[in-house]
Amino acid sequence: MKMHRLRALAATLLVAVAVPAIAHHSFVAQYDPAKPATRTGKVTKVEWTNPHARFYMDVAGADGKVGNWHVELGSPNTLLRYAWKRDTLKVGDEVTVEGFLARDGSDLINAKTVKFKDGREVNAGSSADLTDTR
Amino acid sequence: MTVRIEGESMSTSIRHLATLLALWVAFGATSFAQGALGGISGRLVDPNGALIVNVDATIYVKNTATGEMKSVPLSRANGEFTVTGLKAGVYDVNIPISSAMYSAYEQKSVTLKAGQVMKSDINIGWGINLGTIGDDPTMLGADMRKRAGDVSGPTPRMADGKPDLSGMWYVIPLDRGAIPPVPMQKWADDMQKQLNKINQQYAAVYCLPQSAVPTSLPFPHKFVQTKDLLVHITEFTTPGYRQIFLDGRPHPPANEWNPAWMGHSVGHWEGDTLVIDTAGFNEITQGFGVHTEKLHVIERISRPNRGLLEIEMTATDPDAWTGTWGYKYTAGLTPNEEILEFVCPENNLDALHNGQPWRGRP
Repeated sequence: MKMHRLRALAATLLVAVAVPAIAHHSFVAQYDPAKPATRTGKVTKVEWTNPHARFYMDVAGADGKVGNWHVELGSPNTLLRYAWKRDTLKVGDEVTVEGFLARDGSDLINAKTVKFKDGREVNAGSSADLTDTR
Repeated sequence: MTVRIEGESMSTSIRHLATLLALWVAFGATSFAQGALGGISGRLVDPNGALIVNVDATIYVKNTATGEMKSVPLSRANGEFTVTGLKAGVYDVNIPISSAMYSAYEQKSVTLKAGQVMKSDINIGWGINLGTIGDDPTMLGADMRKRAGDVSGPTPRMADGKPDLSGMWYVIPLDRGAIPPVPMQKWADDMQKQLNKINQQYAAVYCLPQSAVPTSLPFPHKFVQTKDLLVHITEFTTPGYRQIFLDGRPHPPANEWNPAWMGHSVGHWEGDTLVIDTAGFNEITQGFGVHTEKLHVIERISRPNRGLLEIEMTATDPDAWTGTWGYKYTAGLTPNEEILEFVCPENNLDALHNGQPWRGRP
């Protein structure tokens, strides 16, 4: 585990030092690549905002208690260019999110894929990949 | 594992070593007769051990003695690559990847004997993005260029015959290659190490400008050229624009200028190349590591045809560095795209999770 973190940090630093090729920010700084996770829940709120779109969903824990999880996506501009629509994700949708958990241990996950109950799936791939899944 | 090269079949073993920076050497060798051709093949693996598939990557293998370069694409389907027909020699291996989820890979001085086939699982480090949906600018750029259609044609020109750089552009990261390290003086290098430790130098998390030279960012940007002014509009980074004065004015005197994130840019033509000279930076602007207000950047931009910008960026800072730093890159025309509004602080929760205010200096 520790090794993974060190390596991830090193990768972050390699990019961050003096290299102008960067995304909005480093997800590796905030999320732990050594903590891949899957969460299933019902969407309670969608924030189509900058710098990143986000949504919230109620997730039942192992103890049966329901927690409200915060799911982070990319920017609305990029989602639109990847063929997302503003109503792709709606309050009440049941979705399964695969991604990485936050380093600070909060109920926060960075989404690599979002699977809908009807089998649709959106991922980090190109717009072509997205189109194929709809 | 069986590899077939030059009509022969052989079994190879796979071994590799990792460093903290995820640079790897891997060998599994079988020798042939003298003079036989060999190859390098393998797969890319992420730090969790998963095979990397569904990304665009190119494997470049350069013979260090002859300069001869071979390249093959990584298979999107099975994540494998095979470079064949390599003579005995010493090779540099470079793998830029069209996904910000992964770091580029570089391994210098790999020795290949006659007829040897190297087969390796190459461990690729995480990039900055972790595959977040809709947050991979590198992939976005590749997509935009695919949607661009036919961008061939001659260089567009202004009424006075100068090239017209106007258009929507996106940097082509695979053309950028490895970026050399900044040649820092000791004090600057020490400070850079301190900054890296506290990991608070990452201005973008706080919606601050991401680069003093936004053509190099993997974001959409647009040039609007007039005879006396080149307007540069940049998405996903603050302040979102820069003005490059082409009317012959000089930089303002140092005591009449508040050092700025984007500096002060003037441009002039040398033949068909626009030379942009930018000075007046503050000491915390991004993309150049630790530097002082003496930072001085020259961009030489040409448009050899309708669809391509060639950019050579060089930078100096006599108070912080030991020499000149810079590199060349290209940008592709993406005429079917437009700049979209991006007001970063609107709902920026990321800074809260970092727990500290941003500091440009330790």
